[in-house]
Amino acid sequence: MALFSDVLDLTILSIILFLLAPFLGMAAMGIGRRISARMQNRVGPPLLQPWYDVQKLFMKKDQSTNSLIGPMAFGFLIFNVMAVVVLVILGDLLMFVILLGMAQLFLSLGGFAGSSPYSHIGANRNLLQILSVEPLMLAIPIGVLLVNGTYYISDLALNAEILLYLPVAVAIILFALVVWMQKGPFDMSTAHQEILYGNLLEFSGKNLAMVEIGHWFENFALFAMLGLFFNFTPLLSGPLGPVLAVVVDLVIKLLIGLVGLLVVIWIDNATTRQHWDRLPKFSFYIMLPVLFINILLIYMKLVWGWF
Amino acid sequence: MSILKSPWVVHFCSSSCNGCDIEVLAALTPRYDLERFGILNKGNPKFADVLLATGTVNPRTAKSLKNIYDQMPDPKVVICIGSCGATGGVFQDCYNIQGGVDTVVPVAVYVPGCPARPEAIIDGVVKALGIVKAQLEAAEKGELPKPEPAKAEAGGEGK
Repeated sequence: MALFSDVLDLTILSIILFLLAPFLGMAAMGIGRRISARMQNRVGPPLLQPWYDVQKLFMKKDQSTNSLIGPMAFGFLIFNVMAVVVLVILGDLLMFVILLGMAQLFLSLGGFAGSSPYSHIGANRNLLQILSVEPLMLAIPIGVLLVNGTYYISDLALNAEILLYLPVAVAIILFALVVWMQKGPFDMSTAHQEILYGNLLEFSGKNLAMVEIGHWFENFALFAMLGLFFNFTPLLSGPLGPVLAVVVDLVIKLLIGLVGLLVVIWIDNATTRQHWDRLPKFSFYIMLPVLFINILLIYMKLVWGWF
Repeated sequence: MSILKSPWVVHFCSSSCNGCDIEVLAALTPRYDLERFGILNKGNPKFADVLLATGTVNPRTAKSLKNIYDQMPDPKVVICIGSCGATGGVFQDCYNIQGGVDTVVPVAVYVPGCPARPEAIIDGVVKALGIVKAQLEAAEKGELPKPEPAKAEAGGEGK
């Protein structure tokens, strides 16, 4: 299999993608709020609303009750940034998934650092979300390893057939997007108007702004991971030439991301918030068996060679 | 002046018939769609820029009102909605009524009405944001007027 660096100068691509990452993540939030408003027959906020929100939050006084809340917000931001860095240099998929999970752990710790009981409920529910989502997310690199033989995103990005081998990955990433974008039915940790933003309750001012920016990077990371399962570079590099093929591929990934966003917002608007124990039940009783069957089929075909 | 573009509100009813609270929530419905101005009802004082206070204040709720106001990070502004919040309204002479919202926290804008109409509430939020803008501009020039101190301490006799 050809290396990605043969196709395009990797450094320039990585820098461009990294600089675009927070803005694309922000756009996902802005467009998401807009789509949600249109679905509810409203006009909705301007597309730059997340930007205005963060700008304002940086202006506000810090009202944290515990000095640990600031470092935890920063930890959430920096681990998401690190995950995006691993992604844009086309590094290790396993490392990428673990960094995304670690980032959420900081929000839990931030919730436990607060003194409010709602903050503790939110932190516990956030841990439950990690428990439900991370085993599934960690299984994606395992499936990729079975198909590709490596964890490297650079190899994954050149495998046009990965979706045929591992279709369950798309369902898992959409599930992770619903949970981590805090959309219904599984937005239990920051359940607004129920436990008042849960683990984020004690965050304020610039700490909350850092969490918001961390969410931009996280959105980009998850949507990009969705895009990694729709690869057209190997198919297009013949007729279009290598550079144009990568550009067209990235545009297709962007459109896939938009469709993913639409699905997530639709799920959010079509469902109500579920009781917290429905999340691990859904994860372990429905998603995990499907994932197991998918991995088993890969084993039958590639490792045991049954068909 | 991004605070003008994303004012997040928290809403507290001290004690009243809840008519004004229904109108506050009505202003957030698709018909009036406050989110197009970036206004969100956050329900958490630590996120909020604007406190929508309704209802008359009695010694017990004065404590909660002051607590919510103190938890809001600066810059912040209070909007008092309805006749009860402004003066005590029809409950003015009751034995437990301390008065309007301004007996506990400094109020920037009074929205009249019993209950106040959603249009009037939206207008009140816009006016209050104008006041915040003026204060911030004064602060940039270094001539920030000191915020009006609360006229009475929270709690009172009921403490």
